[in-house]
This record gives sequence, C-alpha cells and structure tokens, in this order.
Amino acid sequence: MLGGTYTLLALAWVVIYQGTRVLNFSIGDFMLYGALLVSTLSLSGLAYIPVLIIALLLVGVIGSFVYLSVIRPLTGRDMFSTAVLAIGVSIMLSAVASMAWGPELRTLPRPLGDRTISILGTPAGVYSVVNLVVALLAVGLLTLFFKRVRVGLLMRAAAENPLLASQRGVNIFLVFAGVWFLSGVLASLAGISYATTSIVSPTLTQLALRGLAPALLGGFRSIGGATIGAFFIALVETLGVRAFGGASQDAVVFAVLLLVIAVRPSGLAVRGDARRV
Amino acid sequence: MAPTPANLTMDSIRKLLIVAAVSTLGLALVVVVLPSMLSNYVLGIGTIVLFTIPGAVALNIVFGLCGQISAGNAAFLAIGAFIAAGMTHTWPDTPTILVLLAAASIGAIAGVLVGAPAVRVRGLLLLVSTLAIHFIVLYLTERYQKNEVGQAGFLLPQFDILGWQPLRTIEWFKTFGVFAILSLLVMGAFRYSRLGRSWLAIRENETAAEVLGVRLMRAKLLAFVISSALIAVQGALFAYYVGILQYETFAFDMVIQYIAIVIIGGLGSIPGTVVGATLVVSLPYLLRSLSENLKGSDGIAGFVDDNIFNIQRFTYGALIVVFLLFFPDGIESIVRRVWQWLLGLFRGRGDDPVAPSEPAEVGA
Repeated sequence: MLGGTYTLLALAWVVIYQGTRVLNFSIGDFMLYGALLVSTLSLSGLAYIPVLIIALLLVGVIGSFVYLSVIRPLTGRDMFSTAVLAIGVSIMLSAVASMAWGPELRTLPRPLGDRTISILGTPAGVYSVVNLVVALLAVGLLTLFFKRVRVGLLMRAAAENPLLASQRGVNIFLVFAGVWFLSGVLASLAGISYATTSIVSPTLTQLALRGLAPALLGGFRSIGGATIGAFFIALVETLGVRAFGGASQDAVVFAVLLLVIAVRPSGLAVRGDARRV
Repeated sequence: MAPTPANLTMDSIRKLLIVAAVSTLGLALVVVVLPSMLSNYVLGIGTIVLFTIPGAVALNIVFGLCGQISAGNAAFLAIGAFIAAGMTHTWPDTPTILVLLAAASIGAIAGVLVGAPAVRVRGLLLLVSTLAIHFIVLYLTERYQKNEVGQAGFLLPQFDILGWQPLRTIEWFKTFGVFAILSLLVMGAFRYSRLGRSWLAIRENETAAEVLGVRLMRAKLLAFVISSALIAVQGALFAYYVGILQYETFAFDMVIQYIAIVIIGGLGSIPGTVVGATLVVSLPYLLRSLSENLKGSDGIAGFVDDNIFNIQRFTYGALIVVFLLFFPDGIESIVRRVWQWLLGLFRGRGDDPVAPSEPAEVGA
C-alpha cells in the first residue's frame, strides 16, 4: 500500500529531476492539491472518474504553470537556485491551499466501498490493491512512454542535451513544461491514492519529502530503481513504525536516507556518477 | 590578484580599523543607544531580530559564501537548545558558559557527522541530508522531552555569565546584541581569510577551485561545521531566553525563514544579513498592525485576521521567489543600483559609467 504511494512519489521526483534538473520541493503541494481538488469536485455532483481526471489534469497544469512562470526564467542558473526557488514556490502553494480550503481534515470518496479482497489467502483492503495496481500501471506506462511515444522520446532528448534538441527544432520549453505536467499528475495521483485510505491533511507534504528516500535509493535516474527503492522504503517504514511507534516514520525513513548518502550517494541501483543530486 | 606583502599589511590594517570602528559603533548601538530609544514593543521585536542574526550568519557562511544549501538551521538550533536543557536538567548547577561550550562542540561534531558524507560529492546532497537530519532531530527531541519532563517542556535556570543575568527584554536585547555582533565579526573574519576565499572560489566554480588547489571537501566541511557550531550556541542561548523549552518550536517553517533572510540579504553579504533578518522577523508584526488598521473594512480584515499565519508564509515564499528571479544579489544590489542611479542623476545622464564594483554573478 505504502509501496505504491512511494513509487508514484519517487517517480514524480525522478521525472522532474531527470527532465529539467530541478529538485522540485513543491511535489508535496502537488499531492495536496490533487487530493483537495478531488474532495471539492466530488461535492459538485460529478461522477468519480471525471472528477479524478479533472483533478489530475488541473494539477498537471499547475505544474506546467509553475515551470513556465518561475522556473524557466532561471534556466542556466545553478541547481541550488532552482531548488531554493522550488522551496519558495512550495511555501506559496501550501499557504494558498490552507487559505482556500481551511484547516479542517477531509476524507475522499471511496466509490469501491470498504470491501476487502483476498489475495493468495491474505485479506487486503480494496484500496490498498487499487493503489498498488495504479502505481505499477504508472511504472509500466511511463516506461513505454519514454521508450515508444514520440513526446516521451522528445523529453529524454531535451533532458539529455537541451541545446542539440532545440537545434533540431524541438521546442524545449514546451517539452519541459510537459515534464512538469507529468510530474504533477504523478504526484497528485500519489496524493489521491494515499488520501483515499487515510485523510487529506497538510502533512501530505511530509510524505512527499520522505519520497526523496526511494528516489535517491534508486539512484535518482531510473524508473525501475525508484520502484524498487519505493518498496524497500515502504517495508523499512512499516517495520520501523512497528518497532518504535507511529511518530517515528519520518525519523526512520530519513535515517535510511542519511545512511544511503553516507554509504552510497549514487544510489544502490546504478554504478558510478555520484553527481546526480 | 595576490597583493604584495607590503600593501597586504597596509590593507589589512585599514580593514582592521574599519572593522573595529564598525563593531564598536554596533556595540554602542545595541547596548546603549537603542535600548534607551526604543519602546518596549519594538525592543521585543529587536530582541528576536538580534537573536536571529547568528543563525542567518551561519547559513550565509554555508550557502552565501560556500554555495552549498543547508536546511539544517532548525535542527542544529534544536540540538543546541536541547543540550542546554538536558545539561541543566541533569546537573542543575552547570555554569552557563560550560553549557554554551558544550553546545558549540556537540554542534560541531553533529555537523561533521551530517556534513562529511554529504560534501564528498557535488550538488544538493547537503540539502537533502540536512532535511533528513531535521526530521530525525525533531523526533529525537520529542522522545527525549516526553521521557524526561512530559508535554510541558524543560525548565531552564537563570542565564549567568560572570554575574550578567538577563531577565527583562532590555537585558536580553543587549545579550543577543553582543552575540549577533560577535557572529558578524566571525563571518567577516572568515570571509576575508584564506578559507573564505576558498569558499568563494567553490561557490563560483568548483572545478576551477579544485584546480587552484582548494581542498574541496575540507573547505566545504569546515564551512558547514563552523555554521552548525554557531547555530548550536544560538540554540543554547535560545533555551535560556525562552525559559521553557518545547520541541514543537523547531518547525520546518523556521528553516524557510532563515533561507529567506539569506536570499533577501544577498549571498555572502554581511550588511544584507542584518537587513534581511530585520525584514523577515518584523514581517509578521507589520502584517498584524496592518490587519489592525484594516479593522474598519470588515470583509478583508476578517480574512486577514483569520489567515495571518498563511499570509505570512505566502509572503516569505513570494519574497524568496521574487528575489531569486529579479534580485539574485539581494538587497545590497538594490541599494547599489539605486545609489548608482542617484549618482547618475546627479552627474547628468550620458557619462554614467557601469558600476565597476558590481558583485559577481551568483553561481555563474
């Protein structure tokens, strides 16, 4: 369950970092906006699926907007500036969210109810399964997208060598805006799927920061690495919470993160090139 | 670049005199002039400004001078504060000076532990690992407080160095004032030292710095360790100042405040640090008085009143974004630009030379 959320989060970090070299600290706010939008839109009487699609697209648009309005002008500056800029944007987004939606906690609709299904004899909440399926589906689709689809290939080309790509007539800023759109969709998917089984609260942003751990563990470059990292971190977190209590989840995950940085800053999945983050 | 020994000494004597004059002036200002001039309300804000300056200086050493971002301000502040609380809780008669020394040394050791792995490689790992240490420290301090004293928090004894026992705001204003000036002097001393020049070289171009013989890891680690020790001492002072210490104080928003100060003040700028700290700390008070003035028009005032905390956060975020986008060299460059413009007006247009002393482009 947690593994699925971490997978989506780690993908959101990795996609944006690989695509545009920005450590985007507003991913947590993308998560939060996704969940908040679903909770608001579902009150309007629309069916669940359109609500979901509208929310995902809106957050994607927010992502592109953030890129085009404030990140793009910093193109060519060092990644320290863009990371700090993203922190600034994150604070603005979260302040706007709590002004617009207020401090109360919300729950999201559960169109599938609270059923449990049994997988190989073990009962599991239906949303834990949905969460997992969505995450794995996202992994598969993203892999295909970057290998087969023209836009995905353009994204990789523009990330690899922006100058060359733009020389070949690719509008790289449009492509980068697309990367931010994609990351926004992934993050809000993570936010929605997580909040469906628990509640919508501003602490979602802390979950997003913990998502750095699987991304880094996976070497911060590959979809596969991030996925494996996500399930590993989810396992460690579950064990940690069982051993030290619920308040320790941040501490446990970040301790693993520190350990990774100390032992193998390039991540466990790939060799070489420690300059990644 | 390298000055001959002769003009180096002339230069350094001149600089030393300037520094001595400025710091005496500053000292007179915070100890004698300001306390007798300001109202209690302003003095209260001023105390927090002066308290904030050392932490801003510390971040400015790592980020502004050396070019590595750290999100460790709140964590190391908590480490220092909880060392003070823990020591005085366990051994109630520990002299204050010993507590401060312990905070500095443990802060430095923690700095090595956190910084050493992160500064081995280029890039943002220091930011990520200080982010990690923030949440770990938060958890540990929470556990420690709940195990030792419970929800109420630690009670600290009276601050006492050589008989100086600040109790009222005015006395704390002076105490923090002296510490703030000391920290600014530390920053100045490092900025113009060999180490400080290595930091600037690393900030501008790491590869070039390495080629010039700067030992990257050592220089970066030193910057980080000096800064963590400074913040830990600040934290110990903070514990004595508040008197009752609770872990909830050290939220992530505190980190954002310090980052905003350094961005607004300008990377590596010493006067900018003071101006930035003043602006960022007094912002909530300005907003509050603004909302009190709005009381007449009910619609907006009600909204402002309810959301004062969020408006404050939004403004910090917006300040970071606006300064990074439009004034990457901070408030100092704005002052310089306005000054040049005024000079240009004075001299008449046409023969307005481009400022020769424009600060180097950040991270170019």
